[in-house]
Amino acid sequence: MLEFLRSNGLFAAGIAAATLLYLLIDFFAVVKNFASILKAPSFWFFWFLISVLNFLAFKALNGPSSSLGEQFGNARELALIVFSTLGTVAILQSFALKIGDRKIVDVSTVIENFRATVLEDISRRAASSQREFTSRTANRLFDAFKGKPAEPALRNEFVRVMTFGDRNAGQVKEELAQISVEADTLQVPLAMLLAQRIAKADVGEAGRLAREAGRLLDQRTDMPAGTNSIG
Amino acid sequence: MGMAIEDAQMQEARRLLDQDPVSRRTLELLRRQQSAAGWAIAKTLGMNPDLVSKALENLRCSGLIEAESGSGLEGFYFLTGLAYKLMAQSA
Repeated sequence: MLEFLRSNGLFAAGIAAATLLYLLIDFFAVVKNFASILKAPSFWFFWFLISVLNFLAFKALNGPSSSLGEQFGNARELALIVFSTLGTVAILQSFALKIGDRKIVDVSTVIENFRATVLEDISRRAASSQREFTSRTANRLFDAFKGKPAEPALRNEFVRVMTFGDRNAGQVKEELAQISVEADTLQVPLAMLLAQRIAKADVGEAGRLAREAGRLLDQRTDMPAGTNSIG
Repeated sequence: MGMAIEDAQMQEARRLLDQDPVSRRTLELLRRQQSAAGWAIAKTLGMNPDLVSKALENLRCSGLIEAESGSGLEGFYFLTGLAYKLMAQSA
């Protein structure tokens, strides 16, 4: 085993790296989120599986009687790693054996299903990260606006952020009244529920509001009483 | 057997997307963003939240999306393997 690793270790590392590079490009083209790709265990299992198949392909191409890639001179092994990676991926993505009208072997469907499962796993992790980020932003917004004096300013922001599409301020105020009842029932601060809803609807705006809370509250104290609070 | 069930699911999902533009736009947004809360989808699309909530439920029932947590507009949604396969076939 040790001898095998000693003689093949560098090639194995190169093949693993080439496979990883290909898969990262392939998955990033779909999900555009490196962090979620790297956090998904199914991605690493997929990478390991393709790397093993790629290594077998490399060994077949690099056999003692093989003259493939000799024109690349000193870079022959590197060229073979590129060939074996592209070959392995191309075969796995398209290989199907038909006899008559029946598909006897259909590797491409198996790989496609596996790839879809990996993409789903990555998306689940992206959703989990998104939920955690939204929750943290809502907490920051709540911290910035908590306390009775600051609550009217957050109500105003709630109406502004939640008025979109064909919704009017009246509908949003109704929602606000419902959330207010919910806060009483749950015995939690209204500002907490408002911050959560704002962050869920527009996390970027929630973050901006949390940063600018001081200025917004100053503006509010400059205005005549009762002109800027809603609900 | 499993393939037949999946083909039926795929056909059902295609029918939903052909007939319901809100579901189609919701799925397209999730494809671009990977994941989003129901409220964020409604605001980004500038659509009535009730319509979006119904579209999310339809997409969930057809197996194209799942909620990581919560439900309705409060949930955080992502695409399932079926949705990725459907998009790969449509590409």
